Amino acid sequence: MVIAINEIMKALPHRYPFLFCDRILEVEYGKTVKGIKNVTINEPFFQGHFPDDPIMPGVLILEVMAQIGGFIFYNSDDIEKSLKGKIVKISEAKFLASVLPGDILEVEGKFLERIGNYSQVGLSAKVDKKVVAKAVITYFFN
Amino acid sequence: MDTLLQKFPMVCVDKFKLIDGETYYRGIKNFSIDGHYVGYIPILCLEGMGQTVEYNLRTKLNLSERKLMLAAVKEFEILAMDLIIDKLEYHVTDIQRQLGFFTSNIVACNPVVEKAVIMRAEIVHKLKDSFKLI
Repeated sequence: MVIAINEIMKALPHRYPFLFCDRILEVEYGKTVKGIKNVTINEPFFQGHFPDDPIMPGVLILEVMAQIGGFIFYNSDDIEKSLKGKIVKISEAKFLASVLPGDILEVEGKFLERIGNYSQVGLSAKVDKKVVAKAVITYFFN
Repeated sequence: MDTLLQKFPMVCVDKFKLIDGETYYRGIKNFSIDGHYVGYIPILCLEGMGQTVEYNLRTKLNLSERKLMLAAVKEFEILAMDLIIDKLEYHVTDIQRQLGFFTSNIVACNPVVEKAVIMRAEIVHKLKDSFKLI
């Protein structure tokens, strides 16, 4: 199931300049997700990170992963409730290569574990099939 | 802004303050409705924590224009959610150096509510163009 930007904006409360998910390519509810973020020099954060050497900040790669990873819990029949999770924990995050303007960040997520209201998702971000970052993100659902 | 290499809109700390008897500078960040990022966003607080570490490293070591990159976030935890926060203080508790890597522990406190810890993190910085983290 492909989820385009209009549907993404119905599901996520994030807006410019903090919406970091362009398209969801595949989602299997409660199991896996794959989505992309196209990285462009017009992003406002490149002005300051860094003025002479544009590199995507690691924390924003995490934000991309978190936004796409949340779509594991996307339920098209109940959009209002399906993505109300909040990040409560990030662990084992590693940044293996720089992400630059022109890159397409492809994020894959796999559901790991649920304990009560907490759900853990393992995520990796790739550029040209090479892993550039990985992390485990825990979401809290009311 | 002379010390940090990040510039607007990626400067995530407003002020650094060294308290008598403390080893590390504290980072202070106010939150308001500004043009780009409204309110506090946890992931930008993590960036603020990282910049506080970076400021401490730059004031102690001669890094000049060498960039410090985030290499890993061993753990970042939000301990209090849904709070209305208009100010955070980032306290560095320790920094360990190993080759080109710097591992640090930081907590984010709300200075208004009896120094309540809102977030904590253990992060690793590396000098750009040094070793790759495996």
